[in-house]
Amino acid sequence: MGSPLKKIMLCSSEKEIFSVEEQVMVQHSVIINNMIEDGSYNYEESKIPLDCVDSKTLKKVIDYCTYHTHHHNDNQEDLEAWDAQFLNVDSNGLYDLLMAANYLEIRNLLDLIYRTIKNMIKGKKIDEIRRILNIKDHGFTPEEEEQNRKEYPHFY
Amino acid sequence: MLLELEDAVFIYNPTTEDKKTLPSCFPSFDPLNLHYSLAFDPMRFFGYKVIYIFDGVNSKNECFQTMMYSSESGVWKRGCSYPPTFPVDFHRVTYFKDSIYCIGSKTTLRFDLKEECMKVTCLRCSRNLVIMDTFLCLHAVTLIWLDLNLEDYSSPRWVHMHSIDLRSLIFQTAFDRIGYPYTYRSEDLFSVRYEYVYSIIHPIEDNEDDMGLLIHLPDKVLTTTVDNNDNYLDPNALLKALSTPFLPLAASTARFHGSSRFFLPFFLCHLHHEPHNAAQYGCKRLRLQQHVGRATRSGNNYLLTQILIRVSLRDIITFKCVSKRWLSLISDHFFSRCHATVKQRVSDLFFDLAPDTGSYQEVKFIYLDKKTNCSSFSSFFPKNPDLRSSLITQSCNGLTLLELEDAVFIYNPTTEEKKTLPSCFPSFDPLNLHYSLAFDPMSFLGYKVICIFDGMNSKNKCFQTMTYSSESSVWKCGCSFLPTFPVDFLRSTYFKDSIYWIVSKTTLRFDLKEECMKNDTLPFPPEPCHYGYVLVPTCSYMNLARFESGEFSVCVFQLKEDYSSPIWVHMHSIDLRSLIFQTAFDRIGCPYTYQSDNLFYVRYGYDYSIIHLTFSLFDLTPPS
Repeated sequence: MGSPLKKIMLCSSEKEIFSVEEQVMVQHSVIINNMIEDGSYNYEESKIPLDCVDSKTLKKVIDYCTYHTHHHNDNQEDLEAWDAQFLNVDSNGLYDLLMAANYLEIRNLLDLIYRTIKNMIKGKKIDEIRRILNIKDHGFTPEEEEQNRKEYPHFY
Repeated sequence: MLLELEDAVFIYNPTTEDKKTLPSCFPSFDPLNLHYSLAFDPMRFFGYKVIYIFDGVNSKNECFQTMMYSSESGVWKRGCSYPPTFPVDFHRVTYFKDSIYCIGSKTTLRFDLKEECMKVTCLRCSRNLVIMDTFLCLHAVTLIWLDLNLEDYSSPRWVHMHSIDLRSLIFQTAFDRIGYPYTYRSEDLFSVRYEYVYSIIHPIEDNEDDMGLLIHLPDKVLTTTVDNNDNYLDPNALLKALSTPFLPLAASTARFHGSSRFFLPFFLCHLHHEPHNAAQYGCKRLRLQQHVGRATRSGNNYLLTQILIRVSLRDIITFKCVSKRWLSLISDHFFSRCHATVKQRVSDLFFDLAPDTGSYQEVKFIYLDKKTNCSSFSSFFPKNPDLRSSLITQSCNGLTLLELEDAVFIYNPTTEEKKTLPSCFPSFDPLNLHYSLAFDPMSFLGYKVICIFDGMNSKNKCFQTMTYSSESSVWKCGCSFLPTFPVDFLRSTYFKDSIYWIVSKTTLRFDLKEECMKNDTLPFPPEPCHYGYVLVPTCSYMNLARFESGEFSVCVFQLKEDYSSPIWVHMHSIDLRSLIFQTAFDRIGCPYTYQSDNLFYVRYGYDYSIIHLTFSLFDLTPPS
């Protein structure tokens, strides 16, 4: 563990550089934690390239990690309200966040997004789900689809 | 990885450098007609299987016969026979999703490991099956592999994914050989390729932007990475680091038959030894690590699975009709396994009731609802009458360790299978032997049993350990350690590659990887407790259960490691009164007099011991 004021550099897919407190990322991201512990990160020169995370998403991820590092003693309701506000984005934004959280292995954020998406599709009908998740090509042949609709009309 | 060297066949793990010679199935056979193939998939079945195909005769015609070897049983078993319908190249076989594929001229032949029979499929269901097509324009050797996406389209089709230029690699290799006495001739390249000497062993697919190939040359195995952007093969990046192993085995015509997952960890471990070029290396490692962690994940399927397993079963049935991809994800084994681990709604608690009564073994299964009262409970008995009087020492990921007089068993309550462990030293006093079990299909093969006993090292009295692994089937002498403080070796818990025992205020940990004792772990919560703690890991969290003083209740704490220093957080209090009275009441039926002292005695003496605690992941987080 380094000193809390040490900064590390993250580089987004647009080559924009973000400077973050080391503690913040190390605590949340398994991948970055491993890299730092490894000793393969050089504080003077290294930038951690995150090629599949764009600047907008990376900024949100850093916001999340920073907030949860500094506010983990807050009461549960406040944190949840903040999380709900944080994830109030369109479905593309949510998808980008999911991919970024997965890439960086941020377990809390992944869990949060999983739960959010689960709540989005919970108890919904099939047509609604296809609309919400933007599934255009469902892969069934017209006959199979017809068959399914006939067999389970209440699902649609 | 399966290696073949003259007559013998080996299983070889490049990561650990372990080698195991397979027993010959029929010593008298001509080894030229034997074709072996390997199936290894820790996500689907125990151990590994080897299928072997040879020419034989059934009642009427000439046909192919199959034999199957399983590492669990250790014997060859006769399989099905089938007529040779078309020429098939049995030298190149690929394992994928419970089947072994062989490439025929236009279609593939599939050996189904579940039904144990041969099936003809027309290029279906083989997403990772590599069909190699080599295009040749003098020295330009291009390699194409096609990916079949079963799930995403209404009918499976092959999609062109990559073209890889092998020229630079081939020149490099030829150049390397000039160092050895070898003259470069252009024909060699051709013949080499035709004879499958340059054969692709395993494509490493890593996210979408990093690909790798493992290439087998007569005397070494190379790994190369492929950059997707310019389709240029860079053999130098990792080639040197990775071409070293196989010295003892690869001397002659060792041939690879199948190489399921062994390769990824192998790839990773060698990458660790190349610590230059820090940033790039970090990035590579980052991706590889993700890949290894995922094992079977392809694309975003893993993430989608993670979302779907959180949905209730009722919804799952509906969701099967959303799209073909969802249907195939939901039908997958991995899904059902995940869904079973991440239990919905029901939290529950296993109780072992009065194991010392000797005559009657009952395990209570208590369902806990959100308010954490004992809402309902059901009993579970081992059906095997021998085991009812045995002592359940430990339960670990679905396997239990039982002790009955001198013998120790591994017992699977689901399948009712029982296996007696060999004694480590028959002459020892069994009272001083303490066994503990480690079983974790996600991190190692088979199960391991650790035995701890009093021994002597050169100077002092100390504890000795022995380790038994189901893979090797032998006891191995482990480390010894000094008894620094009193430890209760009777109650052990497995969690994340370590076995834990409770010491007065902290825990002792046996690291299974390093095979040594450590006491670097977390102290318990500060509140005093007179009745002892029990460690009960669930859903990859460590939990601590404690009997409340004065009350008939159990307190459950969870270890939160997300904060800067790990802390125990109080999660549940479980009221056991109704259970205890119920049990006492039940026993009146049996000749048993109820006395209030008994309840206390029972509780103090660990007779009510928590064997296993399972939780829903989501009941632990407040509903949103």
